Amino acid sequence: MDKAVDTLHTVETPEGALLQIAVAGPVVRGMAWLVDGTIRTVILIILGTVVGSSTGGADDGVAFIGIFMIAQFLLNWFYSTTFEAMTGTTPGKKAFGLWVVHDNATPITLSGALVRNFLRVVDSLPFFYMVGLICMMFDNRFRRLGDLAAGTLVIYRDKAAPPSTFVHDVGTPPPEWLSRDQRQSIVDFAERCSNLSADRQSELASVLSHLIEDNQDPVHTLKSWAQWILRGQSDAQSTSI
Amino acid sequence: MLNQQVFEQQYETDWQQLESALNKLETKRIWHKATSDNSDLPKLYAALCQQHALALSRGYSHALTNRLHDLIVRAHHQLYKHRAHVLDKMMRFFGGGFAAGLREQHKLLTVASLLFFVPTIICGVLAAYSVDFADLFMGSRQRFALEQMYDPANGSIRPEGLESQTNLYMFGFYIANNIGIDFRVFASGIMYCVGSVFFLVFNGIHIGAAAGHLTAVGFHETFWGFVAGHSAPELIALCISGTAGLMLGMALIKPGRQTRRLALMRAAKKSVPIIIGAGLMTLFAAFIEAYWSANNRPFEIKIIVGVVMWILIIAYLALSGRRLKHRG
Repeated sequence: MDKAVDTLHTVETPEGALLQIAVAGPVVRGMAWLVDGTIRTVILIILGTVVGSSTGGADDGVAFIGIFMIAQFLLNWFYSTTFEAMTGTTPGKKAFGLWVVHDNATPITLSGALVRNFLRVVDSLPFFYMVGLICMMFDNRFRRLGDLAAGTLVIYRDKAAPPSTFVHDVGTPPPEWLSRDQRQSIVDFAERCSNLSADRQSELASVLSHLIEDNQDPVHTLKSWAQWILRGQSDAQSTSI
Repeated sequence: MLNQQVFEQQYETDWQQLESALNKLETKRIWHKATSDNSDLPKLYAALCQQHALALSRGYSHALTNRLHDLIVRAHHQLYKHRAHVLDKMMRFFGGGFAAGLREQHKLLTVASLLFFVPTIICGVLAAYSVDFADLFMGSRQRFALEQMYDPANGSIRPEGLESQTNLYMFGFYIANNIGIDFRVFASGIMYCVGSVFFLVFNGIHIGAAAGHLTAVGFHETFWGFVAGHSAPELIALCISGTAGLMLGMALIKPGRQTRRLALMRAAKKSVPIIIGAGLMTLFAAFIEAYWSANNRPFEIKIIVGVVMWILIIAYLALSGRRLKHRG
């Protein structure tokens, strides 16, 4: 494999499985942070209105400010910490499909969540997360200081793709000299066809037209090759190619 | 070699079984007790890892390999999820885990305490010696505000008739302010100790100057009577937060035979119980400060309570958890 510039990172689990994780960059994380910030502000405003109007009297006002300060303190230091430790993400991050994991792709622990969120104080220095941003730019996995200390990554969690429904009525053997990757590409093409217009299908298939006899429809040929690669010549029981 | 369809047919039931187990685990609410009815999961997961590797090496379609990869990620997530018994952990923490972890850092704790108490004493003596020094350390406006607050001629420290409301207000203020300071002292240690050192010295200068000045002008009964009760948990917790911060900074300054990143990660992990303990101590201090410190009991009793607090807390930190097995 060549070393491409990519946000995909491979993590090997103890079982030998290779997990592909896509780390999230500063922009989407910034937007998630804005959503979380809005949620926190709204909570404080609601608390302010509800408690403020229900107490009303000037005497209680002082006590109310005390409660308000406690709420603000908790939201400031423990909002992200609690959400991440319990669910692995915050509401803002979830809105963008982001997830926090340890750098071996295991779920984040309370201790990890605490470190990465307490160190926000330093990452947000001197303003607008400048320290964190600079740190992320020098790290190939977009880790800010808090992430480095906690050993965490913010990653995308993709929704599972719907299973392929590709079936073709005929299967014909493709040329034998096709490599594994080429065969895989042909199958991928066939499986993607349900999402492609007929024009786009033939446009893509025409890339391989030099492999296909002139009187054949490229799309049809590729699909029948894919059918053969996936299922063999008869529809089920063939166990060898 | 199997073609893909036969391969899929062979393992489809396993995958579906795994998927339904995962669905169940993922929808389970976190506060429910962990059940052990999914003993098949590790076995299915291990087999799945192998099947995924096979599918990759045989070049099966991406629709299949992606599906298996997705299942692996989900199963991995469930298998390696941290399932700790919170109560158990808390018992161990208060029963000595906190103190034992802190004693492991006794060198840094000494440094942090010196960084705080040396400026406190020096500035206290200087501020008591001359009001000019007091102004130098905290500014004349703040000196004036402090004098107003602790002047015995002004009666109670809290406004009359509003004690309970004011107590709650002050409780909130102390929590937000003092625990916030603890956490900042901790976090800023990652700047090669600079932040922690700064906050410790800065707070030491301030507190020392206030104490020295107020004693010198004759407000010692109101001042020492007020601060005695909560001084032990609050000041010790500040030094402990400093210790946790210095742990982060020292990991970067002197990582030893490991990379700085690894040293930082390890130090951060060890520092978590320490900063949590400091935060809880400050919460305790805030409670005393809000509900005990401002009362009108005799000066002697308040001082005795304060001294007893110092002795108890130091004894707890020095003695608890001695019998805990050393964890490597």
